[in-house]
Amino acid sequence: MPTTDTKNLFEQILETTFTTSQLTRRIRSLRYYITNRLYSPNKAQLPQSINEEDLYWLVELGENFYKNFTKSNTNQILENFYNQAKSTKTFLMYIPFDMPPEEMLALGQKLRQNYAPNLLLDIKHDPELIGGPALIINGKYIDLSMRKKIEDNKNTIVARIREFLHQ
Amino acid sequence: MSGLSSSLLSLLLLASNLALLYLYWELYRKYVEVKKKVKSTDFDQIQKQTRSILSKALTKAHSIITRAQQEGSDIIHETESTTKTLAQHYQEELDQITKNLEAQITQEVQKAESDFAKYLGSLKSHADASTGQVHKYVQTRADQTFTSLDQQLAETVKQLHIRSATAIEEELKKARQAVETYKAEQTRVVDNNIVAILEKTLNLVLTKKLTLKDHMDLVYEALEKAKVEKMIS
Repeated sequence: MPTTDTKNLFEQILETTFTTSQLTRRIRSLRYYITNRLYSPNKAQLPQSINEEDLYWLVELGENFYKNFTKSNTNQILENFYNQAKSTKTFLMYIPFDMPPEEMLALGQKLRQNYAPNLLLDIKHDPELIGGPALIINGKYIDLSMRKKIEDNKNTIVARIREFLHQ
Repeated sequence: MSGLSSSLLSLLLLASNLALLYLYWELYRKYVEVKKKVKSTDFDQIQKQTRSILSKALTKAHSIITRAQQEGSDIIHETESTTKTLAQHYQEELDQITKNLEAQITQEVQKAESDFAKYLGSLKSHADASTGQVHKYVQTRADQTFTSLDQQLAETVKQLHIRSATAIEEELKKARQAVETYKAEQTRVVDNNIVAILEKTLNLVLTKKLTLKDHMDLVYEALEKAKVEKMIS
């Protein structure tokens, strides 16, 4: 299958996929689903590792998406998906809370509007940030968290505390 | 005087005895010579003659001696009287001389006494003057010494005071500096602790207090700010 079509298929996947973990999971789910569809069409059960959200997403991809996959090209296409996933621009973000999928979806859409069309988010958890994110973009660490703000305004905060204590 | 006359008499007697002995010796010697030369008959005659001569000689000698004794006693008597006279005269002269000497000595002694008294008086006055001068000099020197000592003491005390003050100031400065350093260090430690406590507290509190919306608002706000400040492109 030509690379351009693979790219189009990958873009279809990316339309509703916003994080790297989500992409990796969905490509794995896609492999299971397509393999099952091609080699065990009568078998309705899928692995329990595929969650409900991804199931809905698999269904929403539509028949037009799945008709591109044959027994001969499935592995190749999926391999291309993995390679494209590695080369896709990633936005690494550290946050101090657990972001639910819907918020991740909204944030991902927002970021794609403002920065790059197929931008992927890589969300990691860092409770020390207290609030707000810290980013790594193009190898550069940008701390936008409350912890950084407290650190930057340490002297002002201490002075205010001292004023308060001396009142 | 009596001692002199007795000595004189003794000498005269001795002289006369010596003279007699010499005479006897001469006679004996001649006798022996004659005896050798002369025969025995002649010898008897000679011997007789000799005896007569000898007796004459003895008589003469006795008379001489008697005269000598007489003269000697006269001389002695004269000598004694002369001696007495001389002694008396001498004694008188001696007394006179003694008197004169006594007078002279007394006069000299009195003069010496008066001179000595004058000398002592002058010495005393000189000594008094010297004592006064010495006293004055000692007083002046003592005053000068005390004045100099006072000045030196004052100067030393002043220097000590300055040095002490300087040393104390230095120590105070060091102590103040140490206190300031300690204060700054403690303040820094406290500040760090405050910030650490604040961060921990905020972490504990805000994690519970901040809602999902608050968190998401913070995330969007931070991203917007980063975009405006062109931290991310």
